[in-house]
Amino acid sequence: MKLNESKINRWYLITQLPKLSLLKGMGFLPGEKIFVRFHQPFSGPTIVRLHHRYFAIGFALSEKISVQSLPKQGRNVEEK
Amino acid sequence: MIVKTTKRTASHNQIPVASLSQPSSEPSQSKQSKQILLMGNPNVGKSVIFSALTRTQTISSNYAGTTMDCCKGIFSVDSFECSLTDLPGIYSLQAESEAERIALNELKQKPDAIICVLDATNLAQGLHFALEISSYQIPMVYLLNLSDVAKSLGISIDIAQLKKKLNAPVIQCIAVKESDFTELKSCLSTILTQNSKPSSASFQTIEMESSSHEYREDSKQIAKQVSDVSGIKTVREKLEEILLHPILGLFSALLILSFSIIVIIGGGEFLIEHLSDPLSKIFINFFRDSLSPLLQQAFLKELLIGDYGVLVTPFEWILASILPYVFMFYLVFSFLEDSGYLPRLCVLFDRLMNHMGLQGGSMIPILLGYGCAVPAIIGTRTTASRKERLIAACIICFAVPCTSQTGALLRLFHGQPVWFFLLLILISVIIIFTVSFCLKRFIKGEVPPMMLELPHLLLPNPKSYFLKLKLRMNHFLLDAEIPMMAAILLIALISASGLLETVSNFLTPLVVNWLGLPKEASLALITGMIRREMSVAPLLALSLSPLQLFVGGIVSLLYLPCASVFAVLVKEFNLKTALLIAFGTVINAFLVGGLVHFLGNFIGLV
Repeated sequence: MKLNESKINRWYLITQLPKLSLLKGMGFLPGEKIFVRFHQPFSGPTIVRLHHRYFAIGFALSEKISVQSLPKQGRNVEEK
Repeated sequence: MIVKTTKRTASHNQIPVASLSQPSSEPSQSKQSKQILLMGNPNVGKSVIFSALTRTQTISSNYAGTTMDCCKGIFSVDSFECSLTDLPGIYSLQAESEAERIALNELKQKPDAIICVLDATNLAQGLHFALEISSYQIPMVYLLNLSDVAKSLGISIDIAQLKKKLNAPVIQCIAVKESDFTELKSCLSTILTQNSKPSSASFQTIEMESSSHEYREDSKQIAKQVSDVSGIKTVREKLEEILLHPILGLFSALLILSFSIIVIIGGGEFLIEHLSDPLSKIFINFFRDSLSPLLQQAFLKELLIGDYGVLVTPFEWILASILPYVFMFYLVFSFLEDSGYLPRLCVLFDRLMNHMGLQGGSMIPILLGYGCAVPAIIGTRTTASRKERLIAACIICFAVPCTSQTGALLRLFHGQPVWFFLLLILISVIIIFTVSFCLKRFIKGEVPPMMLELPHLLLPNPKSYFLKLKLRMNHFLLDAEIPMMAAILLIALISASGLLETVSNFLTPLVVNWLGLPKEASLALITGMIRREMSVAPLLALSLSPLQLFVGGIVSLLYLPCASVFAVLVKEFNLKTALLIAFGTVINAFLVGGLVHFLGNFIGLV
């Protein structure tokens, strides 16, 4: 599934993403777990949480990021 | 000793930082000179640390991209004279962006040491970058900043273990509260005295051949081993989420922006009424009363204390009309900057900005334009493409009034219905959309989607907040007032020499016939070339009908970018672009002004 199609308040595993150094540098890599917090309306950015930080990913970019749903770990609780 | 500082910040560009203060201590001739780099991810507090170490006064904000160029300063550590280079924040050394290329070049110069700033709230990300740098085998000191925020988020870090893992000194700090970084200086002294490359570590030897992916794994592993997270959601996090919520976030944005505007306008009017207006009257009366009997020559009298006299006009226009609004704007804007709210606003308005050919992140330089267009245009460097940069710069020049111009416009509309000012804002918004829609179609190129790291919400630190306010007011009073005074002198000369009549007659077809303004308003068009607010100020001295006030306000708002903005446009783009923008703004201002005049007459407004 693409990131823009993900459900909010769920954990996802990044499976594939475009080769962008900025994404990589920010810590977005295949195998990384992210928590999808919000999708802004009208094809707006997706707000995700990675390592205690919020990131806004524009719609066009979130369309190119593939994620895989993870079992629920409790609402917005970061993994230790 | 010459301190060469080439700091450029998004919010306070072109300020010769070194001239604002002196370095901490003057190193003696015998001191050994050493090169030190200050590196780290964006928005981890490098500029704050740089300011504290070199005793220079720089502006820092709670969002990424405040520093856009290398910034150099000097400080002393024992017998060493250290030249510190503050590099723009980057996430990796992939050399794909301009900032990354700058960092790589600096690393290739083989500095004597690196101060690597880590964000305690996001250790893994900082460590990834730190491990990349460590492969260059340069002695490093790690500064773990934002430890107070990490604590409030329930993150605790085992410093001793981190030191062991990195095999280098790690100093925990809260940069905004530190004053002299004694521990850091002591570590640097030890490193520089040893004058040897570190034998470092398991990691450093491995990392020579490590790929970026391995660094990532290592950094995650270290971060996991040394930090402990409580997992409890704090009030700060809840608030951060509310401000990003698709509905609550928009509602909060409207509330925050409305409140900010009320504070700026209300506070400005309060200051004018109770402080600056009475004060300016005292000065004006003093000059008029004391000089009037002494000045016998009419020309001199008109030049010094006449209607546009150089000794009275600055008090009338600057002190009593513009300065209070400028002060209130920066008071509010600096708070929003330091709180970390602005990037959240960018997220909420990203979709709207996409329609304008921009991404949400471009909202910060545009908002900066409401303060001053010069740093705003330099701030457009943070945009991801040339197309986006050009659109953002054009928006700033075409229809974003700077704070002093807004102050002058508010003064111009004083006593008029509120909808006068609201209608003016509406017209400027329409122009912003029109310009961006046109440019989006005409300028070739892509605008990449937004990818933004959102800073934590912080309560501004009083020390850095008031320092920023002081620097910005200094900038306004010193850098902006000089051209303003030049404009006032020009007006006084034109008025006293009788040239005003000639100039007015020359511009009559445009000013009187097309715009419906009195011919004396021609003066505003001339002085508006020097400073934007000077296209409004001369109108304050005229008796204008409500329609004339509105037309005058519109033309002033949309008129030419001032001389310093023009110079920045030439520098940041080229002369052709600057001329095209200037030509476009003039045509646009007269076209809209004329249309408003005829429309006003048509519907019976006088």
